Order: sequence, then C-alpha cells, then structure tokens
Amino acid sequence: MRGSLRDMKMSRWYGWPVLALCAAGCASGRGGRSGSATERRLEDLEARNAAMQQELSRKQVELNQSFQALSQAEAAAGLNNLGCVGVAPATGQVQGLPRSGAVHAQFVLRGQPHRMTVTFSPPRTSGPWRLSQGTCTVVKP
Amino acid sequence: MRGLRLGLALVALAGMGCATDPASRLRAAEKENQRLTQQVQDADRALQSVGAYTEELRSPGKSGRSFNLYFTPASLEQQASRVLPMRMPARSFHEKLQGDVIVERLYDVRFGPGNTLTCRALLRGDNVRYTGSVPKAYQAEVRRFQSGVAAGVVADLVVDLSLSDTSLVARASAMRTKLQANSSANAEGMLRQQVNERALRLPFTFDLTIQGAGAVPRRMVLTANHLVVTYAP
Repeated sequence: MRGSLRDMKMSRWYGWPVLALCAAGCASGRGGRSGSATERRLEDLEARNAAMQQELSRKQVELNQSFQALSQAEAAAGLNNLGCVGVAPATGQVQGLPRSGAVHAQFVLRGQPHRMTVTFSPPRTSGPWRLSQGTCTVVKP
Repeated sequence: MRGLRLGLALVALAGMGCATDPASRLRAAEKENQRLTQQVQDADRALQSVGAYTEELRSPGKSGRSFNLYFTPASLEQQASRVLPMRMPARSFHEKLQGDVIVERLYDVRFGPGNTLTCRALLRGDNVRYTGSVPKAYQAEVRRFQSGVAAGVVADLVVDLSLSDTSLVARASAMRTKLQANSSANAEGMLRQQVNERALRLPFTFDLTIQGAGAVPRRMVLTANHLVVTYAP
C-alpha cells in the first residue's frame, strides 16, 4: 500500500515535467514554423478540405432525396421490375440496341475474361416506351 | 516501477501528438484532398445523371437517340450465379493461409442511395490452414477459426458503383464477416480486415462497350428498383 502511494507520488513527479516538456516541444515545433510556406499551405489545404467535406455532405443529402424520388418517377412512368430489359422511346429511330447474342459487357475475374451477352425477345410497346425483354447470360472462358 | 511505466506511457502519448509535424500533416491533408476531390466529382456526375434520367422519365425521347439497359437486383444475382461458385487460393486473403476459399454465392442484393448497393457473399474454406507459427496458448483458437471458415462465412458487402469512360467500376468493401460456426469477434474482425485489404483491394471493372454497336455508355443510375445504364451514339 505504502509502495503504491509512493509510486503515485513518483508518477506525479515524473508525469508533470514530461507533459510540460512535450507540450513545450509541440508548441515550439508548431510555433517555430508558423508562417512558413508549409504551414500556410497546410492551413489552406485543411480549410479547403473542410469546405469540400461540407459540399460533399450537401450533395449526398441531395442524392439520397433523389433516390426516393426516382423510384416513384420510374413507377409513374410504368417502368417496373425490368430485369435485363432494353428500353427505348416508342417514337423515333433508336440505333445501337444490342443485337441478340451480342456481347454487352466484359470483365476479368481471377485473370479469366468473362463476357456477358443478351438475347432479346421482339419488342413490345408500353405507353411511351418500347421494351425489349432480354435474357442475360455470362459466358465463362 | 509503476511511476516509471506511467512516465514512459506519458512520453509515448505525448510523442504521438508531437509526431504530427507540419510536413506529415500536409501529406495527410493532400491525400484527403485527392479523396474528397474524387468523391465530389463522383457526386456531381451522379447528380447530373439523376437529373438527366428524371427528365427522360418525364419526356421520353427528348434526350435524343438513346436507350437504356435495365437490371434488377434479382437479375444481377442471377448473373452472379452463372460465375459462382468461384475457387480462389486462401493466400489471396492472408499470406500465411493455405488451401482454398470458395465464393459460393452472392445474394440479398439491394440498391441504395448514392449509387451504392449492398449484398451478401457466402464464402467457404476448403482445407484452409494457417501456416504461421502459433503459440501453444492460441492453437485451439486457430483450430476453431479453421473449422469456422470451413463451415462458411457470410460477408456483408457495400459496393460503390461509378461509370468511368465506358466501364462500370465496382468498389466493394466488407462491413462485417460472420463465421457460421465458432463465431468470434476477434477472428471475424481480422477476417474482415484481410478481405478488405487483400481480396477486395482492387475494384471490379466491367467494360460496358456493346460489341458491334454504335452506342456507348453515357451514364449510370441506381434507383431502388433498377440499375439503369444509358447508351447513346
């Protein structure tokens, strides 16, 4: 008991000077360089980062709100549950819709190239849209 | 003795504080600046895409000669099922593991805001063994981990999607890994860290160029119902 009391006293005696020294060291490290080009650049960059973080947060809130709105807009447009479907406006000539069997995506997995292909059924018109139901497949090497 | 230990601890703590000199803080701030710049650009692009898609839903055909390919969470799961199961060396997860890890299936795909989807991956270890030296006191724990991995691991993944030129880039990270047997917070935490640092370190890239077509991918939007890729000449 007496020993631990002595240790506590020692720690107090050791602790304060150590903290004071380190605080002084840190203060001199910062103070000595305040006004240096590095320090000014750092302050500028940290201020810009804080502003960008705020900008990013605002945009993320906007994206979150639009996420809800888009789902409702899709439903209102009659576009529901479209799994592997090509959609184009019913009016006008659309170029580029993949031919049946054409590769529409490629990726490499564990060094092996994979290709994704789609085969379309004849298109049907639904309101202002022309929908082509597809069957998507992945072709392994 | 205790005083000395406390003193050393104080020196170490104070040293950590002092270590943040302007030069290293500047490097950290520059790195943070790059990350934020990229994220703001991604957010800008996502907002533009959302705006254009909203307009297209309101007025079909006004956006010109474009068309969309739609995918649901179920259709993505179905396509993943054609690639899986996939066997990979266990050393892809940790350099001192031998054996294989089999990615059995991907399921519970859900689309979320900010072009982010969540899903679960079921992994299973096949003859996975730790080859590093293990102190005797921890050998039983390692054996429990090995049999836990053999019983299966469920990884909860968050995947950020973005369009870069003509490619869909998917950056996945594991939020949680759960051993189906012999669950242990410590082992699961380490496993999650290894999955993120090694197996998922690089993003997955899907080149969306349509073979023989004159249209290229222009935007990508994720709604609660669909992944929508818009192509235009």
